[in-house]
Amino acid sequence: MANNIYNTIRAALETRLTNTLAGTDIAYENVAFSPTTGTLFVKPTFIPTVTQPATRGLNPQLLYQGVFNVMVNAPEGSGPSLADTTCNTITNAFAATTDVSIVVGADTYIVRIRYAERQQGRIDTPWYSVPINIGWYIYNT
Amino acid sequence: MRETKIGINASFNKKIKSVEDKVDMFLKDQLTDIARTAVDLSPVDTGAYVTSFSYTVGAGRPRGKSSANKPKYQNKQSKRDEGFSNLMQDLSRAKDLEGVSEVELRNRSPHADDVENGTNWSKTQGYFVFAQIRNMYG
Repeated sequence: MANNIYNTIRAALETRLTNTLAGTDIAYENVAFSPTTGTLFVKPTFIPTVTQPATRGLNPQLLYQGVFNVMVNAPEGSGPSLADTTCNTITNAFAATTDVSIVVGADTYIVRIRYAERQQGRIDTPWYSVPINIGWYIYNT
Repeated sequence: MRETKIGINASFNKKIKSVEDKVDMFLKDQLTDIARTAVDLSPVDTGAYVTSFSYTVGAGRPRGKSSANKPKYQNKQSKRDEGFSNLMQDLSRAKDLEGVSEVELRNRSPHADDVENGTNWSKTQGYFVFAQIRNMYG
C-alpha cells in the first residue's frame, strides 16, 4: 500500500476540508478553477515532507508526515471577518490531536493532526489571503 | 549564624562541562541540518532569496536581498552553497550557544512571502519553505 498511501492521506484531508466548508468554492490542486471576484474561495495544497522508519529492524512500520496548506482567499477590502470566520472553521476541524479517518476497501486509515496554525493575512489583489498550515502524520507499513 | 557548605567534586564539574559541550554540538548539528534543508527547498532564479537566509542570535541585522535588476537563471547549486555558507558563518559567529534561548531562521528578501505562499504570483504556487522546515524540525 506504500505507493498509494499519499493518495489516501490526500483524500482523507481533502474530504474533511470539503465536508467542513460545504458550499464554499475550493480550488483543488491541478484542477482548472476560475475564482469569482468578490466570492471567497480556499486553495488546499498537499505537501508531504519526511518519511522515516518508526521502529528498528527489517520491514519497519513507517512514519509519514507533512503539511496540508489551506489558503483562504477573501475579497479584498471587505474586512477581516469573513476570512477569520472561515479560518476558525478550518482550524477547529483540524485542531491538534484530531483524527481524520478514511475507509479504503476493507481498511480504515487514520491521519492524525499534529498542529493547525493560522498565519498573517496579506493582500494579493483582488484577495486578502490567509495561509493555514496543518501538520499531519500517519503510521503505515 | 548558620552556614552550610557543600563540596563539589572536581569530576562532577567536568561531567557537567562535558554534557554542556555535547548539547552545544547537538544544537549546532541540528541548526546545520536546518540550514541545508532551507537552501535545498528554496527555488533559485537570481539567487536573491536563497542567499537572504540568516540565523539571528539576539541582535543583528538579517540579510535581505532584492531580486530586482539581478541576472536570472543563476547556477542553482552555487547559489544554494552561498546561502548555506552564509548560515554557517552566522553560526560560527555565535561561538557558544550555551544559554541561548532562541535562534531565529529568517529570510528578509522582499519577495520572501511570495516564495512561501505564492502571494502575487498568478501562475506559480508557493514553495512553502518555512512551513516544511517547521514540519520537519518542529
